[in-house]
Amino acid sequence: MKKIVIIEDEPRTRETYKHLLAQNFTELEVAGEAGNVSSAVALIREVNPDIVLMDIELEDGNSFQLLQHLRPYNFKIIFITAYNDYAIKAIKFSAFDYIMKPVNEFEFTHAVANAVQALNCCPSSESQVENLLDHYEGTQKSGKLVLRTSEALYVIKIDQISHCKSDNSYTTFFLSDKREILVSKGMTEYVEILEDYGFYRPHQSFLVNINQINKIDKSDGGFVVMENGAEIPISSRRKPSFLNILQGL
Amino acid sequence: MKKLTWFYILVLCLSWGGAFLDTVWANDAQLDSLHCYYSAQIQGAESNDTLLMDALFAYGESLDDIGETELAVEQFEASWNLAQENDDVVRAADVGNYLASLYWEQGECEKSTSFYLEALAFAHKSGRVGTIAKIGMNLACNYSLSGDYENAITHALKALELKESNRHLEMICYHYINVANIFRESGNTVKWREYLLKAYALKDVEGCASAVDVAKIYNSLGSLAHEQNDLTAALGYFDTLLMVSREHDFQQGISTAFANMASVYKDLGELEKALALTEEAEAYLGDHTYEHIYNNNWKALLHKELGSYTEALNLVEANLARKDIGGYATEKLKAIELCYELNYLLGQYQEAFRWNDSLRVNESRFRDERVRGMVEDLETQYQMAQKEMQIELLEAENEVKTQRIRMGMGLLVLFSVLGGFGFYTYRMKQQQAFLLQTDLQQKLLRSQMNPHFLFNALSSIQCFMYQKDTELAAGYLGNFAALTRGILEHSRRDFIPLCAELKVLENYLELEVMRLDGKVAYQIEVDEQLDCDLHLIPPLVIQPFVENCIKHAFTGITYQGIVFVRLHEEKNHLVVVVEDNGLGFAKAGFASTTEHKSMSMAIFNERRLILEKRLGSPISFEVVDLSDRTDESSSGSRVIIHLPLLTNQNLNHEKNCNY
Repeated sequence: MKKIVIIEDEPRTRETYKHLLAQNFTELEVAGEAGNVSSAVALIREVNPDIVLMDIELEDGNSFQLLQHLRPYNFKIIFITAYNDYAIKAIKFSAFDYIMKPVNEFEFTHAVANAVQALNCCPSSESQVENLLDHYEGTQKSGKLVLRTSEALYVIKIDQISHCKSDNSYTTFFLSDKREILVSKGMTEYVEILEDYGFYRPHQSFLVNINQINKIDKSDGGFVVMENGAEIPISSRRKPSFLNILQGL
Repeated sequence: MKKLTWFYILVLCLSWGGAFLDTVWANDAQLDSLHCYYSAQIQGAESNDTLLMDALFAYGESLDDIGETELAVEQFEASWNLAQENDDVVRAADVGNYLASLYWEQGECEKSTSFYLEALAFAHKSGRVGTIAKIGMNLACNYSLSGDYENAITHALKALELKESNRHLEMICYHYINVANIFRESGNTVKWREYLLKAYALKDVEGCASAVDVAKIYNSLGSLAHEQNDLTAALGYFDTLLMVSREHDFQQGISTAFANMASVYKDLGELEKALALTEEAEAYLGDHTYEHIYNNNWKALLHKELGSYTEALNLVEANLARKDIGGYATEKLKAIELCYELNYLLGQYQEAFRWNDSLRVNESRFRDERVRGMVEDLETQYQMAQKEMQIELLEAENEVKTQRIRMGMGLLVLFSVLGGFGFYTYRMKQQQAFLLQTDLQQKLLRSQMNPHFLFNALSSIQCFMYQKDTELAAGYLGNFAALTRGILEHSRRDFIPLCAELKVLENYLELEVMRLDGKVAYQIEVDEQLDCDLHLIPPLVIQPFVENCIKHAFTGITYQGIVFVRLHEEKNHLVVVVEDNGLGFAKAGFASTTEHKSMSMAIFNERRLILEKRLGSPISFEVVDLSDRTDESSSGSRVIIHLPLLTNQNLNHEKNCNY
């Protein structure tokens, strides 16, 4: 029996989680629940759970403060939040799973199933949580991005990303050292967070790091040539605003 | 009196492809580093003339970009000499064209025209259609501005013919708009409109128009509307011009938009406003000679209308004293005309007489019927010759045409909506107070629609559904709907009946009680003296204080928490008391700011100031910490809000007094 712990300050919402877990995961035992940071720390230390469902806003603080207390830890985390733009950005930068309240049964079971599966193969990474806290506290503006693939967890420097290419629900990251990393998440997940770091979409399927542009080739409707030699098309509709941004540099 | 247009930026636009990144770099760099960078390039190219020419050209271009026109001219002249020595016709044409445009900018009109002629000759030798047409059209503009319409139309039509016969659509709008402007200058409104609409139809087709051309098209549309006395439409077009120019940070366009709006307002009789807009236009004025001459003439005219004749006269005399005014026929004529009128108005009849003479001489030279007739004849000839090809061209544009028909209507509608909207926003700006109010309403809406609370409430309702407690789920869903509806409706209004405000508060508290599983209860008491239907209150005033209580007062308590809301009347004031039996501010950390809380308090304070001003009586709130009391049962905190007691009647009275 794997142990799961619920950290959530809304009593009724806890009931919902317990209900959904009982319906869908007979192999999981709810080993305890807590609604504030101090009791959550005690509970998790005592129970030593495999998975923690973690609401971000708690009665007396938030779950990032909770994690700070627990480091290093070796359980899987699923974040849950009603609304918190800032925290979600940090979560996206660090490749954690998250769901929004009120929870959707499909998303909920999908996230828990993922965590169960990851228990056997992938150890938790300290650098992943470190990146999360760095982004949340906003101390690290030229920061890193965590990419999770089925076989590994990559921590890459954002300024070493040359560009990203979208392929339906997959995104390929092309790095300046010519490495390529394929992750099974749509590019829209990354567009929003990388825009703050000088990334722009010259084309629906591409996101480029403006600092790694070598030149703009005007032939054939226009190309961006990256420092690593890659050529990326510019769509005619996005051209004016793209050139505007470059001119503003 | 309308500002004509602007030129030659096209020359720069066409060359952006190659030199683009260099340009970006040069914007930030100091002149010194520019010098270092290009000196190295120039030295490196010593043995190779072609490389040297290109380096000089790029250097000149970068210097021009940062406004060092004189230094730029030096580089281009050096490059020009080299190109001639080497008989490099391609480079000679490009350099000559650029150089001519710089001379024009400096007001050296004759030199500019002669350079265009030489560049044009080189372009013909090189056989490049785009370049021949571009230079020909630039030359035509020079002629047109200096009043030589015959030469202007000849060169312009030649350029256009060349482009059309080669189906060379790149930058075709630049050509149409210039031909339109030549007709405008020569006073032919029908042809002006015809060519302007050609440019307008093609402006959205890829590659046909630069951003500057689009700006010019709107300017010309606005001026045409003004000319035909459709002042509202004109303002709309100029407003669009302003938006387009701002979007591209195009100073000359911004300045022109303001100046032309000023001229519309002058015709509307709002002279003060016209003067204010003129001053705004001046803030964006560049170095171009034409702009300054135009601006002086225009201001003189305004001053004349306002009765400051001497001031006006000084401005025109300054214009006429310029040696470069000869290059701008229309402006010169305008200046002379003003000079005559002003001297007349000032009673200096001898001077006036002298200027009147000179006016006639110039007028007959520039506005000669014969010349005008010739211009029209030339155009008719061109039309005849082009007729066959026109049909072909139209076929070639078939794609474009479907787009034109489909988009034309849509664009026109969109465009009038945009124009109308532009005008509307412009009006709004005058009513700053009103805007502030709207802004506040939106902020209020956002602060009350606390997403964290709303989604958590929904999440709790979801729980009842999973537990199959449909009665409770339906009940709370009802509360939820009533709360959100109340917030949406009330945040738009200035005052609502007390009972409506209390209803929203009740719905909110019901949801909180449910969410916290009965850990907190509430009690609302209204004094019998108050008439809840009659008395009014600004919407959503009480709720932020209650929300603060619930968020902070009860953390970690083990007894039943209660929020009391009490309302009563006191000395013609409405007194609202929000009290709790929780920790008290000191312990609850009331001073600590969570983002949402501080936002709702800031908004309360902002609203308070506006309401106080409007109602002419103070609104106060005081906070009492009850936790120091020895009696434990009455610990907690109390907020007391004093509002003027309002009814529809005394609000109407207030309106009558103040407005």
